[in-house]
Amino acid sequence: VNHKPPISARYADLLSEQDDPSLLNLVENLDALYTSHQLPARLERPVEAGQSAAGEQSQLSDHLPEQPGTLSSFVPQRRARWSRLNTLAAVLFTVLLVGALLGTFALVHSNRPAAPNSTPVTPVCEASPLPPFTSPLSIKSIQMMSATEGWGLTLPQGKNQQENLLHTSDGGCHWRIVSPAFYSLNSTIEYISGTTVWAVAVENSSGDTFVARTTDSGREWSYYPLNPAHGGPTLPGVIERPSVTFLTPEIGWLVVNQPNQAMPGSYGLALYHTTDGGITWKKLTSNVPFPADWAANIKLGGAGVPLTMRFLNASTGWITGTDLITESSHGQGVLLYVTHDGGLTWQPQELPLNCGVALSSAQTVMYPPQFFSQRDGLLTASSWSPLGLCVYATHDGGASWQSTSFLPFATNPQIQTDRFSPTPAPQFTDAQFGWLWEGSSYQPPDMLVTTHDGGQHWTSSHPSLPAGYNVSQVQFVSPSVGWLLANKGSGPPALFQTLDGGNTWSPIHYSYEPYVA
Amino acid sequence: MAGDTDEADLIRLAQEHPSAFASLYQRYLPRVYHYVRARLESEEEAADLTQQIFLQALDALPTYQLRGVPFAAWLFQIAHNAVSDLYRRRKSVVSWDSLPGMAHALPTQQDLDAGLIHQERLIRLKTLLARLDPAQRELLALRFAAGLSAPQIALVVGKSPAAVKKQLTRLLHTLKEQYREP
Repeated sequence: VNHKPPISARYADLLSEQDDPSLLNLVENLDALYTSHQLPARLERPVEAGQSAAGEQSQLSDHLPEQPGTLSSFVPQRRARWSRLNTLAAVLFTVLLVGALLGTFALVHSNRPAAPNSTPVTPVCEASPLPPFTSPLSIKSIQMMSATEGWGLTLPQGKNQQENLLHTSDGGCHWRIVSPAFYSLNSTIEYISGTTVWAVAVENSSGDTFVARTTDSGREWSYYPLNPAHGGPTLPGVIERPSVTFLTPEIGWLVVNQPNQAMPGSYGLALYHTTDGGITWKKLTSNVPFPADWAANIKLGGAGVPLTMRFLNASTGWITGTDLITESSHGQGVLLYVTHDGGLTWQPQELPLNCGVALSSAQTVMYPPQFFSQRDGLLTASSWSPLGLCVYATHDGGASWQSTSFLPFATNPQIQTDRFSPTPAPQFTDAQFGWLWEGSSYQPPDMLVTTHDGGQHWTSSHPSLPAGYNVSQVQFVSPSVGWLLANKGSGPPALFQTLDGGNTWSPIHYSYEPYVA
Repeated sequence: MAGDTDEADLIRLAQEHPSAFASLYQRYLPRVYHYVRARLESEEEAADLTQQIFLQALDALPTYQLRGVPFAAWLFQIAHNAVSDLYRRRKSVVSWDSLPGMAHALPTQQDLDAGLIHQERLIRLKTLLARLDPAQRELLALRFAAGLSAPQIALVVGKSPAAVKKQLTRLLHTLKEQYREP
């Protein structure tokens, strides 16, 4: 599988005229000219052996490519010192500049009304005309991975009423339909990076289930059978929406709900591990030691509470969910499970009952932790009673968690909140900035709620959209850059972008390249 | 494939442990070197500048924000500025119009295998590239040597992705017409 992608894949954006051999020949020769230089030996071997700071390596580094050592040794020390002095000067200048900008921003911010304000400014981009006989694109949801690259799903369309997978590499202005040909993706799609997706797909002709994987933004897909009869791994239950997580594009874990051999008629949770990008899976344990009644009663992705799994590195990870049944057996703390041996064994980890309110495990949903370094991470507990959420922060890689303040919610008496999700789950772009969308189920409705201090304080505001739009999704990739999907009447969903942290939203008049099989 | 390792984790790791920057270095070394080499005549000078670019990146890495500008675009902003600075400093010595001897860099065996006609075509292409203006050559170097996408190039050169895509398409079309001529 490890080979350089073909010219047609690497330069697909330049080779739209697919039948033009002259263009292909030109691109091939340009590629040859620009990449033909052999690397000087001194660059390929930047350090002497034994100079790496092995003591500083984390557990994750065991799985990284072999590292020759530090960079510093191949750079003259004098030059390095000068460079660091220059960096220091640059940092001081930047601090002064940012301070001035923040002061200006604070003045502007304090005058900004919370109610809907100005109408959106100039569109981010204009739509390209659609080819004849193509219908407009209806984006149902997006998953942006950076300021430019991201994925989307369409509303069901076409004769098969199929959802299509989309990809953008310019921040949402242009989308390509990248669904694998001749296969239908089911709801198990794991967006690993801006270019890599792992998904479960059903072959349209045979109905067989496959792992579908792309590492080049959906231009090419690889398929691996999941049916043991076709040489695939034995993964019963994988079609029923497993909980999947990837630490790197190669290393991942998967939890499925499988019949419990020891207790006929009941189900248990089995954990699998992959080191080849989800092509083959090795069973780690079929006896994840959650409370027996929990494992027996939870049907993943069905009527029960979905579990989520997240790993900090190759050894340490967490499984979170809710504990509707077993409060009495686990004291009064909110609950999550932690492993320190890559998923072989799991132990409950209790969190302090802080945030100024009494949270209990039976009334709480734990959302998966998000890490921003090997030490710093955030974790959210969402509670039915009292209704609200509490963010926990760690600065020691999840060994201990400190709670912040409690963010209370009020429900809209007209609408029942989700019985499996007391509050929206906040998402964070870094250890400080996070956001959630307070929809119509809550009071006041339709508010963008943000924090700039890791969940200690929250502020609400209405996005400044034209009248009549109902927001369906908000996503940020940094404290300033974000997107918003909104519906108006029966028209296709509209996409808006902010570059100033949600103060102003500009429409993206997106266009798309129809799928070519 | 190198791209299969989670880059975000490599960056996080390198931000905490500078020694781990070696993985990013290994991953991007060929692209950075090819980009620099496409702009400089001397192999020695290109190697020196490549080292300096990575050192600057290492120093600036703590300020790099994941989920902001893609790492490749960020790194080649540094590379682009480093090459531009060198040209500014040495304007009287090095001309923008000089292209590296790319055809000479092909391994001899490859040249033989590719055949005389192929070699002649590469030399002709090199001549065509020499006629381009510096901005056009920079665009091609970022696309083919650095392996950046049009949106990433846009971040490096400060233009819109649409404008970069348009320029690249036009440029290739023009080159194609000239290259096809006997």
